[in-house]
Amino acid sequence: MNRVMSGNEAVSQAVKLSRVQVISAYPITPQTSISEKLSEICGSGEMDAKFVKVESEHSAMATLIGASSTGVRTFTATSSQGLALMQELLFWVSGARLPVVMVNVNRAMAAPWTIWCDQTDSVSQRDTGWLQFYCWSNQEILDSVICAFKIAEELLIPCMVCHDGFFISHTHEVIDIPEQEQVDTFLSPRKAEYKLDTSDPRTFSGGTMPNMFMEFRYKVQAAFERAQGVIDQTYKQFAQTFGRDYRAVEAYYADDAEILLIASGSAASTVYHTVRQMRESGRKVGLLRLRQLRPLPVEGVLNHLTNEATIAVIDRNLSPGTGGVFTQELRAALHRNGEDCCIHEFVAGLGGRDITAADIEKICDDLDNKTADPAGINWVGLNR
Amino acid sequence: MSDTPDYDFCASHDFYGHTACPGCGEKILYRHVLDVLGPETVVVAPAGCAAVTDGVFPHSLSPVPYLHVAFGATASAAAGVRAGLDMSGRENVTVMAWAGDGATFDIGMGALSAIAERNENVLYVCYDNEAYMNTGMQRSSATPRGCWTTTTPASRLKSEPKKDIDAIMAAHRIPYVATASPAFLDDLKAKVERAKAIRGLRFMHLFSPCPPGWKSDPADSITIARLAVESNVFPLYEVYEGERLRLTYQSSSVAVSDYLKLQGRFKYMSEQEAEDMQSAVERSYAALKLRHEKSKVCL
Amino acid sequence: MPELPVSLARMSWNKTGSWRSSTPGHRGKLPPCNFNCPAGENIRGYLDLMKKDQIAEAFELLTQKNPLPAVCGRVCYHPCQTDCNRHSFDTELQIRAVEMLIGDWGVQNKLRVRLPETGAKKVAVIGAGPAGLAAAHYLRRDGVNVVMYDENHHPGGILHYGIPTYRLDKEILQAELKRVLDGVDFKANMRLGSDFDLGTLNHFDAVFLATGAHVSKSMRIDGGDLAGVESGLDFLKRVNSGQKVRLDNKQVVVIGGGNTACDVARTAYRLGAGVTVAYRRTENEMPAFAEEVEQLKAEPIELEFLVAPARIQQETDGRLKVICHRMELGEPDPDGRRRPMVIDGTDFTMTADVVFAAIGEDPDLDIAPGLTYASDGTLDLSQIDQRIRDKLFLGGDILPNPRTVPHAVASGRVAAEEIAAFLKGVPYERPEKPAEMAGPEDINFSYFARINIAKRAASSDGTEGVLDEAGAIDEANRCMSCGVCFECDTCYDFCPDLAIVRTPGGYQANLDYCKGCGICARECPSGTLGMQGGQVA
Repeated sequence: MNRVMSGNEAVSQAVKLSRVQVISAYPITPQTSISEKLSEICGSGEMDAKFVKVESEHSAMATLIGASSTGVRTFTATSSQGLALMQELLFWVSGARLPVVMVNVNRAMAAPWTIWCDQTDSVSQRDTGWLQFYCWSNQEILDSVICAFKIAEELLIPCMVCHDGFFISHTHEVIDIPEQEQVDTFLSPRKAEYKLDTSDPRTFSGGTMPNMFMEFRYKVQAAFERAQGVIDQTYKQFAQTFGRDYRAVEAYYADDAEILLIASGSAASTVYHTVRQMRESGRKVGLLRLRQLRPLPVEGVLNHLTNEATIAVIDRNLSPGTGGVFTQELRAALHRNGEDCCIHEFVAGLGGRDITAADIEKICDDLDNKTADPAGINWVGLNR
Repeated sequence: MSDTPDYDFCASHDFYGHTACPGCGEKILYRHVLDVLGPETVVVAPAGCAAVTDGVFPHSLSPVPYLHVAFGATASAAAGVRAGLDMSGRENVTVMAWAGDGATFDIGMGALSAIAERNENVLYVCYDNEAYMNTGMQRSSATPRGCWTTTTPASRLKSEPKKDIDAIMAAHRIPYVATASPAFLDDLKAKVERAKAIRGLRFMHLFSPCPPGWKSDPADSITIARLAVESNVFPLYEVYEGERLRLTYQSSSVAVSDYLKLQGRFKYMSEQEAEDMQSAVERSYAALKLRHEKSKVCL
Repeated sequence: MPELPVSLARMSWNKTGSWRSSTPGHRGKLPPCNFNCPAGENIRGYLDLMKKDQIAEAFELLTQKNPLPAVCGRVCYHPCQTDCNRHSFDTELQIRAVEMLIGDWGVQNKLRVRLPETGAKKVAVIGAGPAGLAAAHYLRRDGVNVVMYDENHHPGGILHYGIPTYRLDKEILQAELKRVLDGVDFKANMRLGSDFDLGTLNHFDAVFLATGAHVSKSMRIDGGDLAGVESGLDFLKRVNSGQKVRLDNKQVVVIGGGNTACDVARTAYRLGAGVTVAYRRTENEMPAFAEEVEQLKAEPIELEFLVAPARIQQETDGRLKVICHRMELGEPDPDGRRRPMVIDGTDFTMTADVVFAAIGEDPDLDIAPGLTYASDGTLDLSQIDQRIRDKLFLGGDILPNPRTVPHAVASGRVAAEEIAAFLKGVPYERPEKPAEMAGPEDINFSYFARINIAKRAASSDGTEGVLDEAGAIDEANRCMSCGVCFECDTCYDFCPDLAIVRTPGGYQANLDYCKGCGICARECPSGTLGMQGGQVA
């Protein structure tokens, strides 16, 4: 069924279709409408879930730690400061191997105060042991959330589905909402091998000595190494069920591109449209859209690298002292894979500043003219 | 399942080999609370003495499901467990948060207040040893005035009185607030039984002697607990719906100094400070007594 | 290894007993009541049974050591109560009253001891006082044929002929004696030394001699043999034998300060006499039990302390003039009591119709030729025919024992055990008494409720020292079981390590897990548990 709805509402629909049993969230702009919509559909009985209305994001995640440990399916959503407040527990969730799914509506981190979009909030959580997905459309949000439960529960690794505050969260699009029966065939109820069960009393996440701790971390790492296979398999099943095909890295005009731009989130859609326009004027520009930060889809990137292309990453985030996180991650990963290519780094759109078609064209011009710094940060639209 | 508690539940469920210090009050409290609650219980415990003495992977003392959580996460995690169990059709299981004073009075206070305001169907129990004992005796807001800790050294003893957590919790008008002591086990067990039968948030504040932290003889743990009650330093009472207050032990007139003198943590207290404590204790107890009498009239 | 950090096993592998540097164990101290009971009663034991409302079992336990509870419940000086640890808490337990209640219950219910068939062995018991009674009773319970001889018509000795009826009701006494002598062949009016002698007892396998001490010491003063100067004990015997003795409007002087003096004075008073007791030391030195002194003082009887008779003269009207010295106390005697010294020039005269001497009693050595005292106060039996001597056992007041009923009972019971062993040809070892009794410092008074003494006094039925069954149970409930485990679960409840295990009749530390914190010992209400140094495997 096609309906027009915002990115945040798509989240709510996905949560409902995934038959989540316990939700806990704390409102924060621009996530708020997710909390509101879920409250509504839980309150009306449209969805059989318990929405625990907590007093902070830390408590939201703590609530889900408790709930998920009983074996039920759980969900939360947050943004920015809220995500940061959760951070302690993000580690906890992944270490405890709880398949919590969270939507993070990307918003820059204060100070100074801002409510607008960038990805620094979520990329800075890349070490917490969560899978991270980045969406560029409302349909993709809905589909990704449903997939996230399947992936998380298969791997026992929590999933974070990210989309850009306002640019996507508050933008309305037509999306196809699948039938519940269809979703049910794709996503079966969670089956937890270990849970808080009085007939099988066990203690969860108790003290662990140096002789064991590394082994648990190794198991998490192994799950991450297995993750791409599980994700790809999930997409395959998803395509079979719903007819929509996803992959970790989506390539547009990449094969013969002389300039290959790498982007994620809503910025990628601006790049996509700009690239199409530039192609019309004959410039050989292409796009790789990264849909994941964790696991970093290295293979998907490698598949599209050519010797001819100049590569540039547009990062809507900043790790001060280093630069854009996607850039750093890709440079490290490609180097590890024996690729010696130069990756240009463009930091753009922090704190909600638009990344416009003109910005993209300027990036391409700078790359063509070799005026872009191949080593340092190229700040897009910065007034020094 | 029988409604009569199995007072040997722990004894018959391999409750042996934990690593709590000799004379630990927390473990005395825990086994008796668990005896009353029985096997249909899930425990949620934050960082603290209880958590670290439960055992290390792959071993655990606990005869019931036990969830370790981060320090400030207790109350919310317990609410989450409640929600998860309820959604799984296991409403009959008691969810008990088992947290120290640090997790309760301090780092977890906001979350505790929140589950109280939401009246979550959780039994929240605070075992109060009046400082951060697990990290080695640093002051908490449960530490009494004039007390030595490693962060309130002899040169600057704690100058603030203990936070009145029970009044705070009662002010949330939750169905049940109770204080209890390991020296008065019948009272403790009766309160746990009452708490178990009530739906909504039940808060129990348990006095938990700590020999290493209190610089007391491990053998004196119960004696100290008894003196705390008898001197009205730790009066035993319960509050229903934040209103009706009932003293469950009307004490004899033991001097506060009798309670203090068994504990090295109070040895730096001046005579004046001890006298001040005596009069503060008398004032608080008089206020409780007044509410107790008033509640009787209201009934 | 599981995928997630979830426990796979419990902690009981962790034997925390290795942390221990001291270990709980039983202190082995006796309750003061048991410790002090001359008769060796397990008082704590029968109080515990009373607590549980098991009076029949209490009676059974009590009479295993003392066959005369109704008697002792009346006349015993109850040292069991002296060190009762409740004394330092509220007030001591009325143990004697509980004992009397149990004894009377046995009498009222006409309880009889189930006696075994007798075997071939035969024992003669001479003297039917408390020692002889106990010996005869326990020997008979052991299946021995017992023939008992006494010079009097009634059995009981001092119980019948010495103790006044206002202290010991004859019906109760006779009822209790009936049970005690069940199965014993009692031969009355048989005085050793006149009606028969030891030589005639050769056909017995053993002979128990318990003829007591009932020869009044002589005053050895001028006029001590005048008519009207009598032995106090003989006076009591005449009264207790049922002779009509009238002392109406007579003036009586009783010389002495012991229990006999008290009994004589009070009996004379009851027979209508005006009574003065003259004692040569002060009240503090009176050998009579404090309780008897109190009772004496409660009656309109004059007490003259620091007074000793110097001589007695008979007036022409037949009345007696007792000329007395005033005394003062000098240096202590070897027995610790200060010696009375005459104060010269202080003589004065008391007028009396009758003077009773009650200054002590000696055993009657006329029962056997050649019987004398050895230098250490025991009897020299060397002149007794060896055939008898080899199977002769002695007990009661004939020995230098404290002259009390419970001591005599114990002496008889121990003799019975000794004789039984002798008859079986096995050596007899007296049970050793533990060195220590549990004192107030051992008791954790926090576990016991104080009683309202004023309230209790008001609710009693007015008879001093008498309890009904409910009252006895209440009283038993006050028992703190000093030094003896009463299975209160305190140690079990307070062990942080659940390292106290319930065992039949008590508790034991589970040394695998006991960390030695010592809470169990500190809290033990009865002071049963204590900590011993070291790990003690």
